[in-house]
Amino acid sequence: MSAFTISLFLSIMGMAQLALGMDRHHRQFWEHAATEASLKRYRRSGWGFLLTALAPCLIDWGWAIGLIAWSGALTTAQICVTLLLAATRPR
Amino acid sequence: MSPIGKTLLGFHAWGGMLFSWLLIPVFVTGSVAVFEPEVTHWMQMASTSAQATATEAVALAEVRLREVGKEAPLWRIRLPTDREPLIGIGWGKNPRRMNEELLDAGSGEAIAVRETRGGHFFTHFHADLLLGPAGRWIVGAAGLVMLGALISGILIHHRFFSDFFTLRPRAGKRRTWLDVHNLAGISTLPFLLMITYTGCVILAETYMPAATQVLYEGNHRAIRADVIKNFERKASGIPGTSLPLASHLNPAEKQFGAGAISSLIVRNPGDRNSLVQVYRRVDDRISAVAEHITFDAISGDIFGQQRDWNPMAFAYRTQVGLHVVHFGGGTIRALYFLSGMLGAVMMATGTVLLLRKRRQQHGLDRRQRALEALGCASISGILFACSALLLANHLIPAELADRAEHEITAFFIAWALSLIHAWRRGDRAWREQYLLVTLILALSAVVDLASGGAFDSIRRHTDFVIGGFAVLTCLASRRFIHQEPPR
Repeated sequence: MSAFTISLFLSIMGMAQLALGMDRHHRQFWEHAATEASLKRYRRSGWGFLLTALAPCLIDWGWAIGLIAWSGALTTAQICVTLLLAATRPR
Repeated sequence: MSPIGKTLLGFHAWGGMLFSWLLIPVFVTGSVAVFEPEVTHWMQMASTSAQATATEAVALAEVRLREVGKEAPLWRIRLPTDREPLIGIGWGKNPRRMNEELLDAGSGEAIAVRETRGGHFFTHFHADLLLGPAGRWIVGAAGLVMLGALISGILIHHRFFSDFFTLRPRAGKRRTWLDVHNLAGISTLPFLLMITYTGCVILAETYMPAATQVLYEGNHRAIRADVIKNFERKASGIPGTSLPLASHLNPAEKQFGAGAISSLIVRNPGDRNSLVQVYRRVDDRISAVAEHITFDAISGDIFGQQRDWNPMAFAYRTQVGLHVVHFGGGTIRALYFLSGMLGAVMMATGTVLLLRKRRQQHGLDRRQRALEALGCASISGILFACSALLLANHLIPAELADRAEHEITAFFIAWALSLIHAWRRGDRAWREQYLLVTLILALSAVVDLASGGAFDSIRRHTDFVIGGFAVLTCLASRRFIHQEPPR
């Protein structure tokens, strides 16, 4: 598995949790409301995953190109999560 | 909405749409240009099976250059890579107008390829619309408006974070278009800001020539000469016995690292003052600067080398490198292609949004029809023109005189036809053009596979990408483009 695949996987996990940390998408996906505390946990963990996703890129490419690859992974992950949300539970 | 917000929205919508007629083609061709060598290989219908080490390749090139370029004061050798598996040689007087040939990396024999501009057409069109300095002005102006449209887009999008993951495919049509527009724009925003900014920086010298005028008396090449050291000396007129060219590879690799050589230049071959200049590859770093080292061709001594760069020049070439993406391999190139195409999608959906709103307000008058036709020609029309170029490339016989020009004529005729078609067919044009693109792309891939592409890995991969793109345009024609049925 290439470093980028790992980074993309982590980014998708992170973006998914950021989405679930938003009241609207939490209701959309789980079909029930969440407490503010659990939303916060989702968001915090989501940011953690996104930051972790930087690591494989840095190991494979170093800082200069790694940051570009990371932002590419974030872009792809955001689109994937948005499409998944729209496909699984359309509003 | 505040007056400022209204003004920004007006600029974003109208400035964005008017310039998108140019920017969408620029983005589409730019995205294809990321794969310039692969596209060239595909369009030349070249095939390769053999691979050669650097030493073998240089030896083969030298044999051929001794045959064909005996009198030429300048030789050039490009080593084969995964992306360009043929050895490229050039010889002549003027470095800008060399005789060129491609050699098989196994046998060293010259390979007859189709005469074509190849992937370079896309790069060229992307950079200056084939119009030279005037084209650079136009593209530069469009780039500046694009920067403005991006920033005004961020400012007027007041639900930037709360709509971060929002896509409502079954909401009202307008909502869905807006969601796609926002998603494509926000997800690629870092890329779009970077690519537009660096694009403007690359073109800046054209539309801000003051510094060149004052410091270099308007001579662009003088700047280059100031930054890039060239180690040259006059020919003596006395013949000398040169070392084999490949013998310079080892000492060069000691400086640059194993396998890091990309090309060689030989000045005054056969002369006692002959020099061999060896260039390092540029594809493992962002900054597009090629370190180089020059050897005495007779003794093999180091004559000069350049590995340090003027910091400003290095910073500038870093921005060029960010834009032209030689670095990072296939993954990064695929990301650039995807992001560039998403940028085009963002502009296309923005255009559709404005056109729909305007139609609600003004009805389908003549002016509305003209705007819609131009929109259609810039969105599905440019895809039609590009695919027509690919198919024309494979169908125009290889022997035909000036065939490279005919390919480009095909591109522009197809584009003009798409505009006429859009004007005459109205709403139905979008769908029909996307279906036509699907058909042409599928046909191009099949023709290529049937005519030898199946046995060449680069062409086979390109065919799969073309086929995949055909599926996407087919989906686009079904899902998104058609207007609501009249009620």
